Amino acid sequence: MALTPIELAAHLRRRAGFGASAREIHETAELGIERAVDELLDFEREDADLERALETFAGDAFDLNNSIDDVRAWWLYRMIHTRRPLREKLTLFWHGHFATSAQKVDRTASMIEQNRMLRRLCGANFRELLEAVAKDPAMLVYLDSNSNKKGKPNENFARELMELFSLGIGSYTEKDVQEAARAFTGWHIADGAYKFNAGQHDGGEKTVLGRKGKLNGGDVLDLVAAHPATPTFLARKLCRFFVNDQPDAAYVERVASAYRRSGGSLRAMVEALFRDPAFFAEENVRSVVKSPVEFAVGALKTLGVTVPLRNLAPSLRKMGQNLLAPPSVKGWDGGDAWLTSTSLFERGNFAAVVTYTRGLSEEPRFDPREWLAGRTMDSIESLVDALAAEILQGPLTKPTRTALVEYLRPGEKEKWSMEPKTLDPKLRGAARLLISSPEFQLA
Amino acid sequence: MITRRDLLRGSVGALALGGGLPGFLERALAAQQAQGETRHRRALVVLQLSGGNDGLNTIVPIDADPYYKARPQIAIAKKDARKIADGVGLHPSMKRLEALYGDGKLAIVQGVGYPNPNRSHFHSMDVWHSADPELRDTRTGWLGRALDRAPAARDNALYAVHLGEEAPRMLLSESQRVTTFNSPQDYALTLDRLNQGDKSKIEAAFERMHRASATSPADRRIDAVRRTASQAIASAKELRDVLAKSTPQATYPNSGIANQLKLAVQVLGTELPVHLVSLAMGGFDTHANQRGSHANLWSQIDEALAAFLEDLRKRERANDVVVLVFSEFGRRVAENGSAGTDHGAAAPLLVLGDAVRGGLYGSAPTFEKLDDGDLSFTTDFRRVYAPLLDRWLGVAAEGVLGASFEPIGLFGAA
Repeated sequence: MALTPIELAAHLRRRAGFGASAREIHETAELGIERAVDELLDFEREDADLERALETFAGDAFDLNNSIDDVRAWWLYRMIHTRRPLREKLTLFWHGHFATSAQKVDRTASMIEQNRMLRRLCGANFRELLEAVAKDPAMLVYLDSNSNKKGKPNENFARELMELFSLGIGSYTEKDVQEAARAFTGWHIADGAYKFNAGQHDGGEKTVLGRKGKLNGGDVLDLVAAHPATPTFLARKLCRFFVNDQPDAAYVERVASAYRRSGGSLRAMVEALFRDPAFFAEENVRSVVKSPVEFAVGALKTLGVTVPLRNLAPSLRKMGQNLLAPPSVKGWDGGDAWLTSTSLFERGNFAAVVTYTRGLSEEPRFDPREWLAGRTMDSIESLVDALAAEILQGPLTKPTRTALVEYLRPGEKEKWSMEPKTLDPKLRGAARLLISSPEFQLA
Repeated sequence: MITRRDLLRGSVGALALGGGLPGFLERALAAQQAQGETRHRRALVVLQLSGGNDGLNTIVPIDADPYYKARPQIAIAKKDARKIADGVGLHPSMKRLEALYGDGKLAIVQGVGYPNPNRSHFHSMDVWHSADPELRDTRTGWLGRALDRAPAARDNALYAVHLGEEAPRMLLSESQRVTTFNSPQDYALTLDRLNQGDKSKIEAAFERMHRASATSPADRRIDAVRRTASQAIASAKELRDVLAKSTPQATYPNSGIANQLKLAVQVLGTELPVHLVSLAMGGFDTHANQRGSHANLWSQIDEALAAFLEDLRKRERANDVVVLVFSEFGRRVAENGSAGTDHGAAAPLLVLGDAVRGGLYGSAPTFEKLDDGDLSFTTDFRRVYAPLLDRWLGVAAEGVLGASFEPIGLFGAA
């Protein structure tokens, strides 16, 4: 069964962004999928309106230098309002890849600086991104760079560089880690900034990944960026994040070869990933569990609703994704690991926040009456189908449909009415259920 | 396809193994009975005092002049301390803990720490959680590794629970993601005031749409989500029902720590196959005017622990539960300019419970040989972990700790 243009458009906007309203999906489908891909891939161009808006009110709204929760809210604001959703999505990807936790870094300014750097370089050459990360103040603190000294190397950064950031396990030896750590000695931090401490740098001879010489940190970064394992490792991780948590090996290789052809361009990889015909294959649609951020931001964008952003981060924490504080240096496992009992209920409860938020302010909210206006519904079933088209933007399975119809069916003493006032709370309940549905949990 | 490993990774994972009706409790209990440990299922409760508890004002060296000289404003006067041995007094707030010590059920290990102490909260906490001062393994914690090796943790998603929002590092394991909750209500749908009348209908619909069903092959993935979800819903319901029946048998004071410990007993007092409970209490980073706040923190702990133990005794579970109380570091010997103390190093820790052989362990650090103004440790913290693993949880300590440490005799002679 071929996918409809609406389903294709919705898939693209969920993956290359955080989802969109039914109206926006309709526009994307009208535009044609190829042009929509082109537009999303224009992710490195700055969204001037967003930046201007943030400049105008960010100072008042967010205390970016002191409150990490405000940095989270600031980032979530970007995800919700940006016109370059892929840029924010890639920033989120790199945040999980170069996982750094505010709990250890304990300097809010460094966390936001890192976030800005990841956003700026999200499509850069990988070698350039690696160097920025290796000299990033938050990362320097997180992986104990200052204790990496001549004669007393600390392997923390060197190990994660090879294991988690570039090559993956199996492509290097313990000796490589030890020698690479020596090459990074003296890459320190002072007063919140990178500083090369020449007195603590071990300038001696080392052998890393088969290359011998008086290697320094930059040489090691060259070596890992040019290593044959790196493109595949990165491509697989990108595919797991953007396509399917059990990605097809041939697809992964096609994305990896973009890295090889371009000499390490991340932009080229991202293009290859989204332009690959397999991206739209049926087996890759609704094929991976949404992360809490994708779920929550997606729910807001789908209904065009805003909620107080400071309440959003704590809710995400309960769902298992505490932004800017991943559980360990390996980031979040993703995929099925997101499905835990606590997180499922938290998702169902967040769905209530999204659908019941009432018009106390001028903020956009879900308004069932507005939604009903101009629609004719001749049965409960048609109401359910119309609401599902709005929220799921794709097929509704039978069990979910039955559950919703049963929910809306009036009890013995109740009377069914299409009258908006009566229908309002019931429609909110149905929308909440749709956002809590198994369908909506899949990206 | 969901593999067994995938299932185990989720907190509901093991619940899904049967494939049929949920009934996870029955299966977990059956496994437990097969191991013959239903009646006396041992459990360890780990209470973390976050921020760095001031060890010197907790277990007070009442005869040490250097202590009084270094802390003219905040030292605990000898006459106020609760003397438990020559030269050793408890903070005046520790009234019930003093009685517990008198009953021989409170072990105080003095001068606990690790080599090359680090004064960063996060770094030091990481050392305690990973049980490795060199932090070589950045992904698992000591109790997570214990869980990986414990037979009772197999197919048991409730072997360890964290009462809070996020499982701490010490519970990170290779095989499971540990179940966490703040209250049983976390395991339920909340209703908006607008929809109060709809409560049962919303719940029924939520349950119905997650019910596993034989549908077309195209729905396979959604059905996988459904299976996990429906088991989560069922297990949550069972958990809520079990906890609802487990009402407190003691009067608890009204404090955060008391509420958490009350929930801990609610969990431990049931047949739920829980062996590890972790909880944390903050507020110990007492850089300024610490006298009142530190006294208040310890009154809260003192009252809450007493209620906790009374509750356990009434449920005939007191012999099966041991509590470890630790903090990431002690504080500096000298007070600072604002009647508080800054981050230090070695400090005492507490282990308590009816099964514990109470008393003073280790030796108090001396004031003669300070390390940059800090007390030097006399007992490696892993010497406390070792008997908790070997003797209490029945997991070989050497495997978890990566080396052999001479155990402190918390449970008497081996």
